[in-house]
Amino acid sequence: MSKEIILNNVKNALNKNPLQSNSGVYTDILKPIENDMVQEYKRGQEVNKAILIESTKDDLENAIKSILEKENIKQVLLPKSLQDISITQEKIIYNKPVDELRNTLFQVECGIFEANYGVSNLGIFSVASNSDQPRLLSLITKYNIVLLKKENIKENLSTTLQAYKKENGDKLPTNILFIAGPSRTADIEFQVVLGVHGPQIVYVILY
Amino acid sequence: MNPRQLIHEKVNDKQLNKNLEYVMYQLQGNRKKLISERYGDWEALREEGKKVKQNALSRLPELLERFEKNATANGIKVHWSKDNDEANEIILNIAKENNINKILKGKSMASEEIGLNHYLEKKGIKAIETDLGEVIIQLIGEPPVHIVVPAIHKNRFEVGEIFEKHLHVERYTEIEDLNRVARTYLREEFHQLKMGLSGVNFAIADEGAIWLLENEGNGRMSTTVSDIHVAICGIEKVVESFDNAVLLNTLLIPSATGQSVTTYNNIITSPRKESDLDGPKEVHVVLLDNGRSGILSKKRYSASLRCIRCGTCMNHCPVYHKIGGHAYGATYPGPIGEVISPLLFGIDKYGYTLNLCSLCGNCAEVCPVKIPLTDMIRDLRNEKVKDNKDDILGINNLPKNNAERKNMEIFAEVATNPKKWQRLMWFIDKFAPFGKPFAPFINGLKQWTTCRAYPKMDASFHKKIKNMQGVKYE
Amino acid sequence: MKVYFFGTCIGSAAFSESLICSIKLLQHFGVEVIYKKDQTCCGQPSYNNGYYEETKKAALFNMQLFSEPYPVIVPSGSCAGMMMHDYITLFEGTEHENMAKEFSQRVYELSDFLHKELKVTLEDKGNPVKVTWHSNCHALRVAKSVSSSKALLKSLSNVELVELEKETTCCGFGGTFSVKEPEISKAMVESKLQDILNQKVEYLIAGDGGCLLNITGALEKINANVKTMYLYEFLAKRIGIA
Repeated sequence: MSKEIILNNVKNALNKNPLQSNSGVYTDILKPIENDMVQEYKRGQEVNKAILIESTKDDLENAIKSILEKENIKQVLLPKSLQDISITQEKIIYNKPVDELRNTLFQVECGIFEANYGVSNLGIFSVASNSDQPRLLSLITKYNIVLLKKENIKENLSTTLQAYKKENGDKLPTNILFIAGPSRTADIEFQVVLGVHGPQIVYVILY
Repeated sequence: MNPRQLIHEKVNDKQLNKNLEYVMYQLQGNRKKLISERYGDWEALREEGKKVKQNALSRLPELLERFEKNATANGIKVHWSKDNDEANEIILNIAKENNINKILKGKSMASEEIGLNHYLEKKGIKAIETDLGEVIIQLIGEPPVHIVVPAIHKNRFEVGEIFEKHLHVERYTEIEDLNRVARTYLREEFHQLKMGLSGVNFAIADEGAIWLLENEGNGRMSTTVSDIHVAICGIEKVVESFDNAVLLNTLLIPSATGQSVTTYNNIITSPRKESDLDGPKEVHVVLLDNGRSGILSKKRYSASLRCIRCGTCMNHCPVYHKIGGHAYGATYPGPIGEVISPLLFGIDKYGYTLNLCSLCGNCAEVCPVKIPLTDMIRDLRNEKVKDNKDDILGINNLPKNNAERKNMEIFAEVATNPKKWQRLMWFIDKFAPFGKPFAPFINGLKQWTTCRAYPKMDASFHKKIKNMQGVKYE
Repeated sequence: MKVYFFGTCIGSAAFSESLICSIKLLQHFGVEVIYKKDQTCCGQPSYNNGYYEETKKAALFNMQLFSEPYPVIVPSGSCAGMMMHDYITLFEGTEHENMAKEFSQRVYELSDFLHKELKVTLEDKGNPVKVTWHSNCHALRVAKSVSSSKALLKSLSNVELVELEKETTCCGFGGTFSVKEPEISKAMVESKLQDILNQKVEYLIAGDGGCLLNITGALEKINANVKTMYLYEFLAKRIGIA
């Protein structure tokens, strides 16, 4: 009912006040500081206060281990895709619906997951939710360790979203996230503080 | 409190003034530095941003329907509300159907606009703010002072006192500690969360998706750990494509905070699917008109619907700096508020805010979607005084300002009558030097001299130029 | 070259000497000045309060008065902005639309005219002095003449221009705003004064009578020892013609 009323009001408004305009075109006007897309991503990701570690596919586990040791992390939340990773810390596999894991999820210290993409011009990474990698992995823990393949770094938000669409056809993931680094606020005296409701410390392992 | 008293109180609140002005200049400086150092042709991008919004508005019925169709296909439930009562009722009913008596909220100016918290409270449902700034002001029952940094008028000591009193913790003064207090308090709430509420930054018609921006993660919490997520979305937030949203995002964030990107860009396309392990089981989008279609019908003001709520017009408004958002008495303060508050909620109620502008033009100069705010403020002043009244909400309830009208008529008469004009100049030349003792009794001069010396006038120009060599005096 | 000179209302009521200097500057650079004795005000007082019909009367009066196709030179960015930009808006869709367009495109703010049209070179004959500059909002954002004003100031060899920290922030004048919202206007001009005093200069220079009245009055009220001067008077004195 209200739908018809609103649409009618909007149509009448546009009859009375016709608006004309061609749609605007997005161009990426951010000026890179580094020449190389990966280097630019790294630079930006550090500006955004993530801790960037470079590694290789073979050395990935060691890189993860050394972070866990350095931060003295005891308990790790893992997606199914990473459940076989060999670490000494207690592993909690996120393989059940949130409703069954709720209490645990609110306790666990560190979440590890794979990013789908990196976005070079902004220095951020992107992760999409799916049955393997639920949404809360990148939100609920104090620490995040994010794995990102160099080859998955895209130019900007536009090209990254295109990549998602290409990859998924008509069905987009239920939740696409672009994450710059630790959660933060500047609501008191405009001073930046890290770790409000999301992670306080975010590592990105680039490989 | 009447507007005059309110302004008097705010302009004399030294703490407010100090806190606010410091942050506003920081925000201005950060924006300027970022844009000049890191961005290419910003002005051209503003033009494109303007076009994107203007184009979306020109096809609003089509885009709204496309959004509904695609969102529905994705499993999102789309609701339509023509006014605040209806929007509030829809949200209440969703809560009631699910036996929910407490909701958590991410930041949403639309929810402020419809008075949701107050409404739900009367119906026995508690609505808890989760954005740190919103938490602070909710604890003391104040509305946001700014649409992006809602508690920026309070410094750390004041926040420490607020937390001590309302959250029953010791009195902290370090911002890190205050942040920790808020995190702990809200973690407990998020743990229990059943229904979360958010605003929407962009609704994408082609994808049936909503796009939310934030830094803290409270918005993600509210839209992820809840069973039910309700997003309130003004109908003007609909754009056609992801690329449209990317463009507006590129303009929005530097304008708002002087960052290039927020910590989180949260694009939601559907509720939890069968195979998913988390995410809300229901996602509702409540489309809100509440006077927006009325604005759309007005040639002079429809461009105000381009607003993407970045708040940079406030950050750059010298009047806002001095009085803060509360002095406007409306959900939306500052220049954009002066334009949309009278149009959305009545010029009889908010017409006075149109005086809170020196027409300096700084707001229009920085607006990322090029809304001619200064012209609109002047035009709205015109609505108040013109003879053939347009259909502006509340226009007929405005009291007439006969004294001002008379003055303006006299002005026009003198400004078109050289004899009278020259007599006026002669009068100033002759008598202005002796006017000082009378200044406190002459309206205008009285106000002028509260902080200025009696003006030194020199109206001898006409006398002098007549005899000036080489000048053709005709 | 012949030009019309538009003295502005605040100029002719409060800054007679500065207007004379403005004319001297034009004459010094070989321009013949015509002064229409019947001229009045550009119409901003009513315009800014939303009284458009009253404003149209004043605007039309001016457009008809300055009827020959000579440039109209205005020693104020605020009034120049009104006449080159707002007149067009005012008469849009009326019988005077074309007249307004024709008129508006020959309105120049004086420093813009000196700097961009006449491309003058100023020979500074004064002693070394430190000054700061206040930008009038409409000069900055409507007439867009501030860069010319500052270029002229900077071209003076013995003048050191120290910029205000918040140069682009309004001084709180805003015409009738200053008496309609006196408390806010007061707070705004007080911030401006602080900025000016922080620069430790001898003079504050501005290119608009309204701002100058506001800032000068406020400086005097607190007995500050910064002097103020209208840009054109300052220029004329520096090059030794006044």
